[in-house]
Amino acid sequence: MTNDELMKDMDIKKSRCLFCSLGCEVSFRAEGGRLTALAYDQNNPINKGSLCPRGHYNLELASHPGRLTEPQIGRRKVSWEEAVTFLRGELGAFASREIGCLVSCLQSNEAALAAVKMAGRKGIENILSAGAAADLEAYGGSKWQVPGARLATLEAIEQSEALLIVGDLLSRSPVLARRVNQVKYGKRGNKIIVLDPNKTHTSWFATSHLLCRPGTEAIALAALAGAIPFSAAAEKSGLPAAQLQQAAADFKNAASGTVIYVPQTRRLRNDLAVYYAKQLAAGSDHKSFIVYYLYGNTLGVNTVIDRAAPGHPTYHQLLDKIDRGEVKSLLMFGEDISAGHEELQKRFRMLKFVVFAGHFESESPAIYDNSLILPLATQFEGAGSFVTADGQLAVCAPIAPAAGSKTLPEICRLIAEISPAENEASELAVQGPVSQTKDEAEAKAELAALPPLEAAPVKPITYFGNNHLVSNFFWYRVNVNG
Amino acid sequence: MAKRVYLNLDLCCGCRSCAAACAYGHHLQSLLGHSKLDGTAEQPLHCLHCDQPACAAACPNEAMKKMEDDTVLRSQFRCVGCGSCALACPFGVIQPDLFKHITPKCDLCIDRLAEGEIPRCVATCTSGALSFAEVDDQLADQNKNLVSVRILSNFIGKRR
Ligand code: SF4
Ligand code: SF4
Ligand code: SF4
Repeated sequence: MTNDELMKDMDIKKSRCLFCSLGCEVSFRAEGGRLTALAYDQNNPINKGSLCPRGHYNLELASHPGRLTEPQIGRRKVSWEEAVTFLRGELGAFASREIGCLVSCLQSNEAALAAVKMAGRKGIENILSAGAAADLEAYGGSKWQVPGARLATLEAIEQSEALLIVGDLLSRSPVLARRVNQVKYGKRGNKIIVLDPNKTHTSWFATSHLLCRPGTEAIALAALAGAIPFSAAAEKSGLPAAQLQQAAADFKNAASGTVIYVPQTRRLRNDLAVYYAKQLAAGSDHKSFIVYYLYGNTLGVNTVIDRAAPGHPTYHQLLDKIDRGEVKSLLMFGEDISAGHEELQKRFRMLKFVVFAGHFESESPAIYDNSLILPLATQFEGAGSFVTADGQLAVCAPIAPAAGSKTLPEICRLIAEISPAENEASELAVQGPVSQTKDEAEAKAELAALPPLEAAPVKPITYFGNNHLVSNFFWYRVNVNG
Repeated sequence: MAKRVYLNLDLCCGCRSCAAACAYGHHLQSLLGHSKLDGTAEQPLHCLHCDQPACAAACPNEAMKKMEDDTVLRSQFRCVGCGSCALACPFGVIQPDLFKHITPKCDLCIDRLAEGEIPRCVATCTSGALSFAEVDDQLADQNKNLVSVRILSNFIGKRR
């Protein structure tokens, strides 16, 4: 029997994975409305049925016994009615400028827009996104306008003659390995240039590995893009000028090419690096760039918030306001950013009221005096759209019943009366980052001022499932913690 | 001829997705181990379902058996978890146990094969490194279009 026939026979439900911005399609077998196993539908064009280890956690996400099902005030379980009355009462005690609202980059575009509208109704100005710090910095860089720089599609990646990969791409989105292989073995002379201070799973595939000093990726990229001389970059990055020159020529001479940037958690201005990655890609019609964010909807949530709530504060501005006691209450939608973060928890103790809407229990009730926990539906239980790294809209329909949880738009509607138009959020999200002009001279000055560099660290091999988003799941516990 | 799982080492990125799929399909115990080739590369170690399985010969309790369909299977109920098979297997594919008294051993996802599906590890492989093919086909294919001589499992497969 072919895969097609088989898939027709079974009750197969499809959704998307949000554990990275590749946005693979996940298919489940359903029995009696419950999602019971992964099905690996080999027909979809994005991942051809493959999932990376993190992708497998989706099965647990859908059916984990530890999922929140009831709201909690502190440690006490309560009904939704009681939770909503409590929430409205508590929030009413604060002026709108004393409230902050964070929307996780794992939430849908609709969720982000609902939060913005709710905030608008309540007069809350402190609304912003929460995600991986490196991602958000890189997203900032992707806003800087570079004429002619285009976002790569997945097809463009596999049809490239040269790939320039910055960082350990395959440990973030291993499903791209098939496409990387297609470039590597597709045609004689194809180039895979990896810029990374470490030997990684990705550099294993490199035809040329630029082992720069940690934190100098932006400088090397600027040299490759021709913005600064090779000799200047060589001095700082520790790469021989000839090697840089060769890599630049290889990428330039290839008929088609893609720059793939993975936001780095090491000390590095990710925004500058993305800016120069864009410049490098802007050279020709057949070159493009892409940034692989860790959080699945980093592009969508940030775009919606930037466009629907222009002038919102930055993360650090919000933290300052909390330190100064100006913001007294925090709504964390989708993620408890203080979980496992002692320094943040100390600062957040100043808060008078904390709301956390999430999938799993967090540390909040134990450490904050006054907290409310709301069970949040996943992408399998509520409809939503997302924007993947290649700028495509991924639409998820609900495929499983929500056991006691609610989606973020529903929760926002309980707080304030809002009525976004049907496709408003997805139309906003696909417009992509707002573009800002960046002064070239200023960029170069910032590049020159990058902090002095430490010696290359010895980095243990990264385990592919390793990331704090998935620390609740079995495979992570056994393989990383166990 | 029976079908087997093949690994093209050139394509594998060592993501361990195959092991994760295996675990989620076998009561959260992965039957598939990985070896580290150097600091960065890893490769899955698949059971070859040998013609004369050393594991079965070593098993004191006849838990490991060569079946009629050519696969080598372990009986859950007979296995006492002594680990003799792990020591006997010349390819080191049986890994030290995750849970006490259970020695993991690849069963080629018989539940999926019965439904006409391919094994989970092959279905999920992120890089196209794993394939599920007739033993003979694969050997013929190797000469036609495989990209490198580093096809470790084919090499071992020939010596089955
Ligand atoms: S590569 Fe990314 S989107 Fe695909 S399964 Fe893994 S985490 Fe999910
Ligand atoms: S476990 Fe080892 S000895 Fe036994 S069949 Fe598999 S490869 Fe052969
Ligand atoms: S899933 Fe494929 S690429 Fe990943 S470790 Fe297994 S064989 Fe290698």
